Amino acid sequence: MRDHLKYFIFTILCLCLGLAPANGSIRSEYEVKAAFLYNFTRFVRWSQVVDSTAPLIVCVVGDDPFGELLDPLRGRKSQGRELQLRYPDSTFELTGCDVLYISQSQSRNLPELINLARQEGMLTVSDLPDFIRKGGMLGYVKKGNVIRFEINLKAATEAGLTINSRLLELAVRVLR
Amino acid sequence: MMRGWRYWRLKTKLLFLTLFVSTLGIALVCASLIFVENRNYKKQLESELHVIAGILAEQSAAALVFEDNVQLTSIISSLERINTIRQACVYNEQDNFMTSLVGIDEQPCPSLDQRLELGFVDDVYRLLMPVSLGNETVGRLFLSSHLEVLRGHIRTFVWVAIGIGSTILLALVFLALRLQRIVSGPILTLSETAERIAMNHDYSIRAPVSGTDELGRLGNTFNEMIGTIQQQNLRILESRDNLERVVDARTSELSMANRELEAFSYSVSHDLRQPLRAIEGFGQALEEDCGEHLNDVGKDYLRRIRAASVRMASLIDGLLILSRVSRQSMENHSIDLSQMLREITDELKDISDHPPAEIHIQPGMQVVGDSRMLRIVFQNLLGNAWKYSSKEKKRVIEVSATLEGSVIAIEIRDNGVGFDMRYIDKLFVAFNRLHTPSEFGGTGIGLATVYRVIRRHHGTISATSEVGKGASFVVKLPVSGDQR
Amino acid sequence: MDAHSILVVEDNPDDQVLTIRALKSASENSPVIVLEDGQEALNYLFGDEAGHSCRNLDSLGVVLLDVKLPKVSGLEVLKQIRCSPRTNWLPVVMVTSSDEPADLLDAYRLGANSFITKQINYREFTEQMTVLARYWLQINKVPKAGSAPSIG
Repeated sequence: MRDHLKYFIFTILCLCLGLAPANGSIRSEYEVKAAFLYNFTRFVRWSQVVDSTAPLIVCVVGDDPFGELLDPLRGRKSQGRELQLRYPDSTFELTGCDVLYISQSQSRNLPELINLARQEGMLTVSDLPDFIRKGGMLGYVKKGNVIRFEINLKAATEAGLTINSRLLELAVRVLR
Repeated sequence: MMRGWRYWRLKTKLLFLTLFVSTLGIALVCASLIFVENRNYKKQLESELHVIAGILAEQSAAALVFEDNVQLTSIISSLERINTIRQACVYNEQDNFMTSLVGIDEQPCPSLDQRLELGFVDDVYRLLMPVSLGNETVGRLFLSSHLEVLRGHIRTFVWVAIGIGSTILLALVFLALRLQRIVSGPILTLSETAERIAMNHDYSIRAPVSGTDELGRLGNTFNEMIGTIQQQNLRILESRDNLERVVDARTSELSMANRELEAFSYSVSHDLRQPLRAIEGFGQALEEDCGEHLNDVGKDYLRRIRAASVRMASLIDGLLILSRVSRQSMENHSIDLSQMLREITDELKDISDHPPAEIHIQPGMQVVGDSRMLRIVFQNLLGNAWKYSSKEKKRVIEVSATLEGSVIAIEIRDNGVGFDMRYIDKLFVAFNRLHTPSEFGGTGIGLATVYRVIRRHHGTISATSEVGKGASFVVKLPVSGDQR
Repeated sequence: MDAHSILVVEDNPDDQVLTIRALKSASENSPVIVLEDGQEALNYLFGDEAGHSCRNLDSLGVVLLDVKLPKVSGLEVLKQIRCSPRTNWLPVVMVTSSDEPADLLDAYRLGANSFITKQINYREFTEQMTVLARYWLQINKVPKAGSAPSIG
């Protein structure tokens, strides 16, 4: 009986899960990634930042894959901090960034950026493959149609960032 | 049922009241306990569910934000272990359904578009909790819990209450019976004792008394009361016995005196007459045998001696009659008075019918009394009338009777010489005469005898007269001879 | 025919004299026997303790018995007379000076043949005695004592 019930619940769940991508599939990959980017900021604590009301600056390094998709984030608040977008052209302009989105065009500068981020206490996010293995903190991965992410907790901790355990639970992979 | 209340035994009343009040009390206590327990349990359930929902909301916030349905499902499926949860549904920021845990009911999750009834609805408790991240609401959590556990809990509670209540009631019945033995037992005993005393008139019975409480005091007071009654009874009996003894003594004294009096009058009757007879007899013999030796003066003296002895004899006779009517026992009968009076007047006529007599006796007169004594009365009264009217040209004697209530009044009226009313108080006294012997002979005892007899018949006698115009004697006798 | 005798039991000497006088004037032939009291009367009728018991009573015509007697009362004597077959046939006249009604009743209950009250007036008394003597001695018949069945 109980097995029967479980089977039933499983069927319902599958149905539900099947529906969810159907809804999500309306949104583009980068739409989801943009939303994730915002959501990441809500589960990370920057220990180096003293002023909790200072704006949270998201920097997109390299070619911008989002286009206008990040615009809605402008002005939204995450953990009480107003989000600001920057598109720096050089490494020197990176100072003051809180979140560093590293686009695929910057794979060559990656070690440098990662190093900088560790020093400056920036959260590095990228959809470069094997990003976290290379020292990145949050990397998008694609599982079938669904966008997921993985976390390099060690890198984040070294940069003085604390990642909420709830976020860790959702990650496909966590490097510690 | 309550109509017979006053006829119930005290025992039953006490038992009924005790049980009624305690049942009411226990029922009230149980009901309020159940009520309070129900409310507390609901509150507890509510808070528990809120806590659970809060934890779930916190846990599922991240998964919601990242639209990680697998994670959400695994979070929610932890509710499976809480068997009161019937349904749990998760909605995202746009109130779209995300995932759910479906219990036995297999009901689909409600849509949040329309208003949801929350709280206790029918057999379920519904809860909708926002899932917050920071200050933002990122989704909502719907929980529905069935109240079977609550119901079961309350049911158990009711059974326990009933069980405890009946135990208490049983204990109370036992207590009431004990109490009754303590309280109504002595009262019952007292009332039974009182009934027994009232029925048997036995005042030596005492109620058993134990203790010095109010009941003990009541019993003691009751016993004292009965004791007082007993003593008073004893005293009454004693005084009655004394009285009877005194009466007996008096009676025997009286009968002794009576016997002495009888003996006295017997000897008076015998021995006083004998010498008189000798005087008279020898006087007569003297006159007959030696008459020639006596001159006229001597013969006159001899005649006077003999006359005196005869008068003396009639005096003795009168006295004997007077004493006899005073002491003789009376035999009361109904008497034809008219007949008796006619007999008496006939006798009188035989003795002397001069002057001619006109006698009117009302016919049909009836009295009750001793006929011998009443004959003496009317012999005297009619004899007097006869005697005192002997000097008229014609005797007129009337006897009439009138009924005055329960008393008959008999009037004897004559046309004789009458008497002076100044001496009325001497009329009925023995040896008192209102006329000189030369005018009318007599002993002076007759009316005294009449008075005595009438008094013994509980009657009265009165007389009115005017000198020269006759006399009237009125005898009043009770119609019924039994009147005392 | 022999005149029957009269037995008078009377204690008072005055009355004895007056009674005898009255009886003599009524019936001169009849002997009058006078006894003083009741005991004497019983002795006369039944014999005394000495044994003179066989006095012939046939000649007795009547007994005049005073009610009130010394020693043995008249009523007691009457009772004895009526108890014995030797004397129970005797005519007995009770004589009294009183008119006590109780005596009258007792006398008749004991079997008296007559009861008279002695009159104060001597003339009337003489008349009583005359009538009495004439009746009991001349008019009335008495059986001979011997003719009665002897009971022993």
